Amino acid sequence: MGIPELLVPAGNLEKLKIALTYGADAVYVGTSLFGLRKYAPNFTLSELRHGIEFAHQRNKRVYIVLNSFAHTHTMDTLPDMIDALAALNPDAFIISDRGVFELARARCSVPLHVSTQASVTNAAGCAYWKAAGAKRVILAREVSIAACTAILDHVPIELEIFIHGAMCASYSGKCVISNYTAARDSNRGGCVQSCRHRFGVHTATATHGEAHIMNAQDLMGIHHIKSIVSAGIHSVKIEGRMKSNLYVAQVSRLYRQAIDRIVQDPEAPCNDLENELETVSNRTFSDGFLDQRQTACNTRFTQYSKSLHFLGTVQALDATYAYVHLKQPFTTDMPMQWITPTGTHTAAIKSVTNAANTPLTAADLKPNCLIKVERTADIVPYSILTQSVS
Amino acid sequence: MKPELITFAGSVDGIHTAIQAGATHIILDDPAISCRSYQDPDPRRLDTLDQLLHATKQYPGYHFSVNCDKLFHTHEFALLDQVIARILDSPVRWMRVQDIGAMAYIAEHEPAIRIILNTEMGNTNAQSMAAFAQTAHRQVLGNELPVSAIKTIQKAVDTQYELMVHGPILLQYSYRRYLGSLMETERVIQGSIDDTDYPGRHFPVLDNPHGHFMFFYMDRCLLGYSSVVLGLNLSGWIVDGRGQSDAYLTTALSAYRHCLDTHSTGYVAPVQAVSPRPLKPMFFLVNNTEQEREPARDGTVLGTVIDVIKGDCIHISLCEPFRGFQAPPLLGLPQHDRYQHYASIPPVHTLTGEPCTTAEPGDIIQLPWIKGASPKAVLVV
Repeated sequence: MGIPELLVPAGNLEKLKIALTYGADAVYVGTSLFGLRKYAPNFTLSELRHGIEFAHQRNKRVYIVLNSFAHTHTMDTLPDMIDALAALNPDAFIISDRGVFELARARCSVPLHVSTQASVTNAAGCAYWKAAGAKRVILAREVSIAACTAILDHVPIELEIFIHGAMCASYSGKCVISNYTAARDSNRGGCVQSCRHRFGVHTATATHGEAHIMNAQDLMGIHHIKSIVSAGIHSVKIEGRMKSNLYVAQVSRLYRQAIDRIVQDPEAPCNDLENELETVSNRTFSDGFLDQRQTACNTRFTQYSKSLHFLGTVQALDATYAYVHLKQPFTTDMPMQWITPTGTHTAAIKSVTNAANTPLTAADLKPNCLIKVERTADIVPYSILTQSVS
Repeated sequence: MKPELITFAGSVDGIHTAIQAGATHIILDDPAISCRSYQDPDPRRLDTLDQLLHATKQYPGYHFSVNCDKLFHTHEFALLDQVIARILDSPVRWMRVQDIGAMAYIAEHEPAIRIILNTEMGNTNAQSMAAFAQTAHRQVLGNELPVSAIKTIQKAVDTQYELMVHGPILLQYSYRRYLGSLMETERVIQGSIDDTDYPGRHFPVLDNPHGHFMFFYMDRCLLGYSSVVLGLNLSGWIVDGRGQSDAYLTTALSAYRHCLDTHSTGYVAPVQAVSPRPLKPMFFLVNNTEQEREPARDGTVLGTVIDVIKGDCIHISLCEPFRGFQAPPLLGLPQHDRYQHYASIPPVHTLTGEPCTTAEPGDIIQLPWIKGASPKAVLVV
């Protein structure tokens, strides 16, 4: 029985290090070109080089996402880019476009993974891409675990499925809503997620009110790990290159624990881990299509659900202090916590200064400032400071 | 060679109507395998296809293809086998698919069947089309391709192309049934949705057992540019009138028939008069949807300011290695044209206060405060 790879999104170098420190086996990262998260910070080549070295030193993997659907005129820049990226020795390119795939295959020996954007839903599709040179297929989110078993019965190929995170309203890659409504190409990194808006619904005979009719709930597949392991699925993927450091840390840590726990004891419960996953901002959860076809979504969506605020990330430590890059101001009226790779620890913050040792009050705290707080034994680099939601 | 004028028919009467209006190639549309069908699937499955295939015998000299454009899940390939068997029992030899797996499966199992690939989205460059041309005999050009891109692709890849010249713009193919679940029915639902953030835009939607399909609130019409389309020497012009009245389909087909027969530019007004939505050429003329968010800066960006202590220091998260300054650096301010210059090479420290001569991407370095410094400014050398 193989242990599935835990693959976590890394929207920037800091998140890459967090993901790998907290338990991910591999991360997927984007560059500013040919990725689908044009508005994420993404990586420079230097950051990529550093990130790949960081991963390889820990015997972990980095996959580079090149999953835009390219137009002909933008293909001119691609050969040089592929050469430059291949020279960094990544562990795979994730590609959806047939033309980009062909170019990459011809120019380098980096393994190629077919992106979920290619909407592969069946064994014949997997066989097609395998024959074209793919090492792995990332299936459409609409494919169930049972269907993965059927695919593997027909085609010996690495399969990757999504296990956690946001879901597209459509088959990923089969959507151009943003192209027409916002003049931004959904499939070239410009998705504005109009599908999450509230829509009035009308038929010929009636008006049916307003609802978030396409606002898909988030996926949480932690209870399906046993089936995933049994099916022989090679990799489980978490969505969210634009999500917070807290999200990256928590999903990496909790799914790492869940996989290890299930591999050791397939009947082990994971309810405690599920509860912890629910602390991070979400649109409420469903099983997605992992078990069966899902038809509806949370039409009564009103707001994101969470029980922890992400406050900041430890950037450095000296003998006495932890240096925290703050993302959100805080007061000390609600309990605070340190999330670390080993678990959650109570944070007792008695005093806060800036890096120049000037004491700061709550009023001085601003998003994106660096603060110094007293170091405790629990705190390690990339510890995450959180606060309970009131 | 004159392009085929192509349209869909989901009934025997529909074939007759389309041919009378000038169509020369009819796409046979069975709701069991055509994902955007407005008909409820026949519980006896493929009966519609049987009737349509049988009817094709009445129209020698016309072209027919079978629309099989749903995305197939592995357990549905038995249905695909049934479709293939029925086609082989008929004079029809063309199948239209969207699913790459279905394309490969048909090509491997029945080479006699010729494949028209219509991925709807995501087949937008010459290299992609060249790769698919190894299996598909004909490809439908995406609605997001402007005419300049089509010409470039045609020069690079010698295969047959079709273009939807008229019809609804598909925005989304979902495997969910948003309206069906909302209204608790498994029947086909045709309606519209309007985004409450942008009132007045009524997007047509179709919800059927294959999923949920959302369309743009304007339809595509290239009648006003038909002489340009003629110059492309396409194999087929598609007029998609599914879900519309016979009067609409007939008027639209007749208008395009006239353009093809007289090599002239058509008139939009008569078709607009029977159309429920505005008619526009959409991205056929130009597609500027890939815009870079930020212009490139002169020089190398070393990192981004994450913290400013006014009058004291700033902290910068590096995205490039730091190996010392050869000249005074600049701060590029979030307002793109503005820079602040250090007067001389500034001292650099680590976050914890030690002198720093080298640092790696992801490290944070400390520089003296400079007027104008603000978070998200970038350090440029």
